Amino acid sequence: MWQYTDNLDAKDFTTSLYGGSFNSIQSNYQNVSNYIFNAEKNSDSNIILDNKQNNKTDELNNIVGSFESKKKSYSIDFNEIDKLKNFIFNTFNNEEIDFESTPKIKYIIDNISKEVGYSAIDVALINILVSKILLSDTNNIIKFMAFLSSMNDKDIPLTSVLSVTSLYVNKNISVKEKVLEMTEQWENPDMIEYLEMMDDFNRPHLQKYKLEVIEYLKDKR
Amino acid sequence: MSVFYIRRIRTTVWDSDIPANDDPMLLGTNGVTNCCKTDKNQLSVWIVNNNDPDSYETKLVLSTIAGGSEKPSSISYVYIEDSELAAIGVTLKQTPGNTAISSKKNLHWDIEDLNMEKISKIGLLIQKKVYDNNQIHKKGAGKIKEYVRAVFPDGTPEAEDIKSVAGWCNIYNTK
Repeated sequence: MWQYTDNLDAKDFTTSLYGGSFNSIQSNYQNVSNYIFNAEKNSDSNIILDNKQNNKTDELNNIVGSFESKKKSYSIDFNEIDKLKNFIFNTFNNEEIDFESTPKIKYIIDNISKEVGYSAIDVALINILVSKILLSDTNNIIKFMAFLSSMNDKDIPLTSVLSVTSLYVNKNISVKEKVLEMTEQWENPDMIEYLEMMDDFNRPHLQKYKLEVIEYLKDKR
Repeated sequence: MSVFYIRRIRTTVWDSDIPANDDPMLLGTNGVTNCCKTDKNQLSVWIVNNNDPDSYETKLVLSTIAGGSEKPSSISYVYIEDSELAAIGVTLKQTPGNTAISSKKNLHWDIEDLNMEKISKIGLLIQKKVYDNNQIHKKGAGKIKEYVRAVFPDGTPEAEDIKSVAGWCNIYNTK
């Protein structure tokens, strides 16, 4: 059992994961993965989801039911987080998602959150980010960022900060471009310092865009 | 006097090299299949009378294009000159565009009667522009919102049109 507290500061959390240094983020990917995987290993999760919609509905009801009794204390069993993670990830995989529209999965998560709380959603998403997304292909990373950008970053403080801190140093120019789009959608000035640490783009239109996003976020202070 | 067309693009999918000898049939498929989606063998573009990214006309067209999206988002785009399309051998016709701005739907045109050869040539033209620092442009969601407020002031029919889209309903509530 792992205790999740609402007053856990996202920066403190990621700083503790990274040993206090944001500069060593990439080299610490594996440490973060191990952190999550070791925690999962200690659970008894053996749930297997299939893609049939009716079974998904049953599965969703089970997930919500299992969280219902515990949401007030925010004590989350990793077995339950695992079920939630699998449900969200399978739903994510089965939908086309881009930055121009609001994906259906966003509304599904909004509904689940009414029962389990956004704290549990945040833990499930950070688990997906670390175990399924960060080391996947560029298109999948961009799709996940499009999904995250549709959500309110204040609802998912751990996932939002970790997604930015882990991806703004990505070597792929498209991933970095989409980090800018994601933070611009969130309109969160707390992200400015990360964007300022992002390496400059060689392409002038992207460098100009980066500076515009930083200015835009400063206006939101 | 030249006429230009704005084509909204997805920069991340133009990831292959420019083919040897500029042969369009050797162009990688990712760009065309993901960024040149046709309907009834037609490709959507928006007319503008100059290729200045800071001009009022471009801001008007970008705001109109944005009105076809569910919510404010960034727009990457290139200008295509009418002579470039003529060199490919394609023709255009005016059709109502996909935008909530009723009075600006007439800014939309379709490149018509496309086939594999013609779309490959258009794909090569776009890919070259994407790789050219002087021809690729990007405006963020923040800039797009700023343009929309400037070219469609609150209280105008255009403003009412765009506010009717759920993701745009708060566009004029700046604080």
